[in-house]
Amino acid sequence: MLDILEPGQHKKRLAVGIDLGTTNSLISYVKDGVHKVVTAENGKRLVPSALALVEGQVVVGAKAVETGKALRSVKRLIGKTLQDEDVQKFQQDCPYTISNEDLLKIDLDGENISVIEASAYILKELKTLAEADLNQPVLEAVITVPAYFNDAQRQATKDAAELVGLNVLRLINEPTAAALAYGLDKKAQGTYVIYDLGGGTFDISVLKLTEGVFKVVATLGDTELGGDDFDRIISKKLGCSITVAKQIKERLSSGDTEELTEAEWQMLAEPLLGKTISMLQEVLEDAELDVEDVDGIVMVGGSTRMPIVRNAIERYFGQKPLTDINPDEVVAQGAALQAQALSGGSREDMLLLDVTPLSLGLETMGGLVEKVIERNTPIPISRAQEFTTFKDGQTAMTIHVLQGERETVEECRSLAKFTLKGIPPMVAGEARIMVVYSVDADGILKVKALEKTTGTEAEIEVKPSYGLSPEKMVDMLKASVLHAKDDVEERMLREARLELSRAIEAAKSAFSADKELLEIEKQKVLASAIETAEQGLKHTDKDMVDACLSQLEKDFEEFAEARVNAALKKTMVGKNIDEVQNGESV
Amino acid sequence: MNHCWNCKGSFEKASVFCPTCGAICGAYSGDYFELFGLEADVNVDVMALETAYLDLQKKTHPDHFALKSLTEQMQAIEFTALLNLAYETLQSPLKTAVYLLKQQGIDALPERGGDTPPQLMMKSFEMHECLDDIESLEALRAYKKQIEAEEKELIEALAADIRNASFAQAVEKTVELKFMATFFKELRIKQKKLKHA
Repeated sequence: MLDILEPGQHKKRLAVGIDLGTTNSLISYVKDGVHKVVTAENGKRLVPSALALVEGQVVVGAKAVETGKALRSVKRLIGKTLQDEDVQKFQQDCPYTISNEDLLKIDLDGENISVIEASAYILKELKTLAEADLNQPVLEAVITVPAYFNDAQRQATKDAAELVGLNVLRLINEPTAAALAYGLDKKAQGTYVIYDLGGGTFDISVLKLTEGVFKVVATLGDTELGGDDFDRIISKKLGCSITVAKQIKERLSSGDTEELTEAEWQMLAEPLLGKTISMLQEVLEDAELDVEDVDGIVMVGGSTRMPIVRNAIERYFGQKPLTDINPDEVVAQGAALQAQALSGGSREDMLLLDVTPLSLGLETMGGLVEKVIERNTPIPISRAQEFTTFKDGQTAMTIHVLQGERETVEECRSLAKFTLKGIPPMVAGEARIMVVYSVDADGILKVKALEKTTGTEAEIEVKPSYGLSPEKMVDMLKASVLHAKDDVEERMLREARLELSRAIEAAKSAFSADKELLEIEKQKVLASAIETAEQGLKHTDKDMVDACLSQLEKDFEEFAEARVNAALKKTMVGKNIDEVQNGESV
Repeated sequence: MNHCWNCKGSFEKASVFCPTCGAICGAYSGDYFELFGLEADVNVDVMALETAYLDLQKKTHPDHFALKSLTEQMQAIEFTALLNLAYETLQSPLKTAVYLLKQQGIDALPERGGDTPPQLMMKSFEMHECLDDIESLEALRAYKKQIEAEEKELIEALAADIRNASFAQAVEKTVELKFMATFFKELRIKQKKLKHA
């Protein structure tokens, strides 16, 4: 049989929706106006997000779970590094070793796979299932991510899809997808809160729906909170395994159990429920809304089946939450609807306006973060900021981009650090450096820096990987991560040098002000100590630079003491001891 | 003169879509008010802004270009980024005032910040004292209402100044409006504290 296709007259391709979940994943599509979730070989619609190695082959889903030693919840690792606290926590419960050779890697019984590859295996399994079901290749998808996913996590998710030949039409936030599913079915109008408690993540979004436009006005989430935590507290309380705890949790949904009464369960789960409620409060405050302004609450994620969760929500809002659509499938359904809309079956009047989930900022003096794009700003967005040099003849400037809500660099996530070189030497304050940040509709960031008087340019940009072979892409990924590692080392060296040069400056000015406190011989010793320290700035090893700093401090110890004493003497001249002791002269 | 990246044609009046070939042109050359078809004023017709914004989004959002060429996608991203910025600006009277003054070549809120006028300084002291003395949520709500009314008056006066081209006064009022915006943040923090107490 031959399929003859004219260019530009392709058979209408079907785009799918994928809910790539922490615990389970789903793939679904809309065909002839009907939404269908694809079933796996075992007849189930939920494919466990689990991997295992069987006879040298990576298997995914129920088959992996059957091995009893499946790698699970890799989504918790995506876009992260070994240094991340939650990666270390993950390692404690994981039967496999995680390493950080280049990309974050997992040793799956000798097969070393990256986290992106692990996600790609799951996506490939889903894609294969859908292709078998549809009897045609699946090339385009809308994939959902938690609203709270940062730039790195979004990019890694997109990379995983590209690895298995899926063109991502759009990444959409899971809660938004859920609202799409509900909104289109019911043509809802008003303000809605999406409460999404999945296996491993928790998200809240506030959406305003008007005339087919879905506007996300605020989002908040916790990538480390989910139904698994409820299993864990039961297991901890009763000293049973997680599997047994899960069964007890399910039985608790229909009343008291032998192990726990409903009332005890309520007490036990209170801290977790309280955490979600206080986040609800916060997100409503962000959106400048009161509880009464909310027209409905959409429940998403298997964990919202728990009556204690539903009751807590009902108590807080004073109304019953919406639970009509299967909470396990509602996200995939929204993704499938969006996929259909984007692949040409678009309804002109349907539109999804999204916001940035986290603020983007820039490191400023003293390790502080200045926000450039506040969270909950509609995307795509582009912002420009102008900076100048602060030293005469300065030819380079480091631009450090961070993501998060906190004030200091340490508490935010570093997204990119790059140096704009080749600024022509000018008087301090004369160069005009324009930094442009753009976030696209997927929430992925690009930063560009430009010196305006000469047009010197530097750019950090995650290029679209269309047309690249998977090998090339993996290489590219490796290269970028390796590069990032170099960056960390370079940064530490740079900081050490900065500290040393500050100490040298301080030593110099103290020396030139008060050298007469010392004998000529000692003056010579200190002058040469400064010279040695200046040579030390050239070291390319951070530890050597640090050693020079301690040496300089040691050399100047005695002199510093002499200066303090001299200064004290000065303040005491003409005063009696009593006054000074009372601290009145200070 | 505007140039279309697609058909290379040129057109005089600022337009989101090329009048000749209909391609989306990211580099819109008009100002924010022109974009939404609104009158240039600090007091923006909020309903009209919302309608015009959604209408433009429906035509230009990158989602509608998901299957189009990469160039078209980039043009759509460029335009909607501008659209979102314009929308955000006109939604806020403070940002709108800064924008209008900038059109006059005036930087109302310079980066380094000028000296705070003594009058505003006094007002700030008084308002902070009032805030410190408040101990109940009801009192805070009442105080917030009062400040909101004052803010509204200030916006009206600022709008009039700009209409009358009294730019020096407009700058002063813009600085005051900025101070009030910061004060509202403090109000919210206090509100949070009282709620949790």
